[in-house]
Amino acid sequence: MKSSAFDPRSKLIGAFVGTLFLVMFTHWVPLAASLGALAVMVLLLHLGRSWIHFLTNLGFAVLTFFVIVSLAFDLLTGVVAGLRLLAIGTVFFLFFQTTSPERLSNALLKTGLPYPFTFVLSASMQFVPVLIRRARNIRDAQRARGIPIEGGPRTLFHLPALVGPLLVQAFKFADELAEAMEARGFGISGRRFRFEPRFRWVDWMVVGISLAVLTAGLAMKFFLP
Amino acid sequence: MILRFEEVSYSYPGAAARALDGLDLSVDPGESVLVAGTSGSGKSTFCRASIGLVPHFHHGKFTGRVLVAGRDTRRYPVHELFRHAGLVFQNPDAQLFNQTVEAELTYGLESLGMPPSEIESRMAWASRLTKLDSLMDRLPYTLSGGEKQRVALASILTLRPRLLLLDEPFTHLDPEGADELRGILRTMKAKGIALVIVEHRLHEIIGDVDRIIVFHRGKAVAEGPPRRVLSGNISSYGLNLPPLLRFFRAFGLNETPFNADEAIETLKTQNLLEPFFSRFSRQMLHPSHAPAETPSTIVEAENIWFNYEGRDVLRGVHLKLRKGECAALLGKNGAGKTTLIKHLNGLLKPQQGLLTVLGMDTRKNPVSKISRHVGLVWQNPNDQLFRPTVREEVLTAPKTFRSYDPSWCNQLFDRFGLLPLLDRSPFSLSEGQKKRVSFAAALAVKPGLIVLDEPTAGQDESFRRELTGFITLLREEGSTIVLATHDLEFAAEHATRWLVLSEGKIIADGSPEDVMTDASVMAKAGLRPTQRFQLIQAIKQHGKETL
Amino acid sequence: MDTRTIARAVILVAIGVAISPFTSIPIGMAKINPAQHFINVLGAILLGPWWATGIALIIGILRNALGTGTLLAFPGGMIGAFLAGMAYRYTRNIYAGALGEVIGTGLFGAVASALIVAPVLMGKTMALGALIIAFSGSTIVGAMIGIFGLKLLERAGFARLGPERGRPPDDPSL
Ligand SMILES: Nc1ncnc2c1ncn2[C@@H]1O[C@H](COP(=O)(O)OP(=O)(O)OP(=O)(O)O)[C@@H](O)[C@H]1O
Ligand SMILES: Nc1ncnc2c1ncn2[C@@H]1O[C@H](COP(=O)(O)OP(=O)(O)OP(=O)(O)O)[C@@H](O)[C@H]1O
Ligand SMILES: [Mg+2]
Ligand SMILES: [Mg+2]
Repeated sequence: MKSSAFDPRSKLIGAFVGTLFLVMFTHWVPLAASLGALAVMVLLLHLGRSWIHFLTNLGFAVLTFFVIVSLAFDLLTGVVAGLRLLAIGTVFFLFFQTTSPERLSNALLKTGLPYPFTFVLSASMQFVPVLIRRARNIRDAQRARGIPIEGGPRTLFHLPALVGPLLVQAFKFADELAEAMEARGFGISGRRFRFEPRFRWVDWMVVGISLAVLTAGLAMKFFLP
Repeated sequence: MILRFEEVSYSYPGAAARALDGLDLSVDPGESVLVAGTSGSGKSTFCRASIGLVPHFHHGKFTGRVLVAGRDTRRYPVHELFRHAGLVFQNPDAQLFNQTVEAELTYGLESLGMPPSEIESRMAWASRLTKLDSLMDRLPYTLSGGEKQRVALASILTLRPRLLLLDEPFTHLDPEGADELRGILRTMKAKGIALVIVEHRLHEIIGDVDRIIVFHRGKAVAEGPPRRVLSGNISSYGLNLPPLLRFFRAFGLNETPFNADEAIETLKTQNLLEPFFSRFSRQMLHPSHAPAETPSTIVEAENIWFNYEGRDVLRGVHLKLRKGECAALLGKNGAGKTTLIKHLNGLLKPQQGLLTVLGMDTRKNPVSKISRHVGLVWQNPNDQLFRPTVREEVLTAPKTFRSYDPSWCNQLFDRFGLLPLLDRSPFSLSEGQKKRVSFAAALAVKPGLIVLDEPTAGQDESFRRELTGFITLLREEGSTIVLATHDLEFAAEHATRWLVLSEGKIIADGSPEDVMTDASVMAKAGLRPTQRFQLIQAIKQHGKETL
Repeated sequence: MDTRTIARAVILVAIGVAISPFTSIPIGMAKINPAQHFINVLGAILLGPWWATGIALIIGILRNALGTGTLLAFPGGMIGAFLAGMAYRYTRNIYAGALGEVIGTGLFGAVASALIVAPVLMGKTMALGALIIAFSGSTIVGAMIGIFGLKLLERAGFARLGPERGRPPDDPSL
């Protein structure tokens, strides 16, 4: 995860404008060009490795999409659909890679979302690795007594052996977490944050550029033949 | 008075029995108190009631009055009380919900709406006290168990409570971590913070407290200075007494030494050194379990290596276990004990080297084949429970392995006291009962090798005694046992062999006495000699001096 | 504001993100992953429609942040969670809740994806059938595990199902 100089709110606006922009094109050339530009950004931010990882995840969806659309319509439409999915995916990949859930949740709080919601967003991230470790332990404990939870279709019938113990532990864990939160003043009014997100001139610039690009795109679309 | 309980009774919602039953006690400012008692005696409930979680969070039936720094907890919500009394909970994982250690420390202060300058100064103070300065930017889940505990402690300390309660803080710490925590607690006491420490293993902290309060069925049944309480009649409360004390009692002495030096002094003044020593050495000459003549090899590891995501954890482990042995696996937090244990039934396969268990090469055989002969009892019994009844739970493994032997299983049910529980849901049992179910489940396949991971962590004296019974029984039947533990007293009592794991290698392998004699090994693995061993050494030393 | 509800939401989100790698099951060429749907059913019945929708949204955000999810997950998951919550709220029947999830994700979610996502991506609507089939396998398995999980939690004393909301008995905050 990279931190960036921009406020998550301006980046979010940028990402949405980028998506709109990508949706406007129905030809593969501008889409491929946008994807190229995005790839350059990825490389500039040194996110190449995680991008490749991301692509292997998205790859399956893109491929399915491409095949379905190609069959339903024609090859070119399929290429356009695949490219667009890839480009939009990358826009949000960039957004999420440069925005930690904590900063996002702080910024969302500023825009008026309720604290419980933004708290869930920032806190749940901390427990993902904890629960992954527990899930591994449970899987090992069950495998040790002959229940195969090892991947493969047979896993389907043995999921309760993994999910059951995990759920019961997780709910106990949730109660412990709730107690710990109360013991540190969760729920008191007048909470004051040490680092407040600030909308600075760079953020206004991002918003400005986004809007300019959007206008240019719209102009091209409607006034050029 | 910083904390006062007046005739407090409480029962959890839906519970028939009372968790607190007319509890009456008080804690003075700056005092340090140890709270002891069996599992279920109400210690954690008392902690919760001290910061208002009972009754505000748990609801239920509450009568009587709790005063925290003069405030009646029924009238003040938890978020009013938390700045006066802080509670460090048992499970460090569940207490850390922020992104970084630094954010963890400041959360409570942000709740109070403090200005940034005040936050900085308090944070600096707390992190210095708990030695967290170098960890401030780390993510909590990447920390070791001991470090997590210190972060949880510091996140409460920043609030500068005048009363601090700690619920079983020593449970998962290795001996070095325990020493560190004791140091921190001493500093805090010197700063005038009142401390309430809940602990099963009394010897961990007894030398440092002003007072003990013994809980039994929700009541405070004995209290006073440690020596007075421990020399009183407390045998029916199921306390896990400090080991030296137990030797003295077995010898018919009513003194209460807390360390080897005190014990020697006492023996000297009473002129009992000689008889005491001769009895001790007689016990040592007859180790209770001599291994059979030419036992077969059960486990053989040759130079095994293992890494998680490129980080080496095992780096060339050599090991040989023979039939009928009981070996203890020791080492610091994160030394790789659990990792090594998971190799013994093939859950993890050595990335280099050869491991043979009961004649099977673990790399060539699937887990399902090996684990049919290896019973693993996990630290947390909740890792496996998911069946509707206790019976089905225990029979899961034998049925999946098609090795169900009804008469053996019935014998197990009987021996583990599960007969009255067979049709109950495993979730409705107490933690100690769950642990017995997981024991029976592991033994149901008649394993030739039994592996226990931290069997005593968080358990009370009656469970330890039961465990002692199980282990003796299994050994009489010729089973081989491996136990990984931080509880050196337990390991010294039961294991004929100690295996010390450090930096991915077994750096010592021998009888407990031999290992403890090797000071460099002990220092390297962060172990501390047991009190019993210290006493023997001191007596021997003394013998030499007087000769 | 009930701290316990919020803590449960935190943990449900974390499970949803954490167990995906464990529950990804290849069936022939396709892959199903019931994790999200199973969390939807639990969240809907134990915490209500609004929290369930929020949980689905946050799981989507986190999985995108971790690079293990795609944008397609948002509409499907959220609609299913909301519908399951509403179905349970008005019937007090966990099977109705589970059915809400199956219909919500498998049918409405697919329609929404087709109407919103698909045209955005391709400029033309696409065959609904393919999407419905793609969504339904996971959601049916997920809903079944959800029911199993609820019964287990009830036995463990963490939930009370049926006429009253999913809270421990004798809880005066009901
Ligand atoms: N959250 C809860 N809901 C219902 N009953 C509970 C809860 N927590 C504890 N109890 C019950 O209250 C009684 C006292 O439990 P408590 O946890 O205070 O004991 P303890 O002395 O801390 O035990 P241990 O040494 O095992 O931690 C027990 O009978 C226990 O089963
Ligand atoms: N699944 C895993 N993935 C990555 N690293 C792991 C995993 N399990 C354990 N480790 C790491 O391997 C090391 C050894 O862990 P292990 O659990 O074997 O130690 P241990 O000796 O059992 O410690 P403890 O006394 O705290 O139980 C630790 O540094 C731990 O963080
Ligand atoms: Mg307790
Ligand atoms: Mg371990």
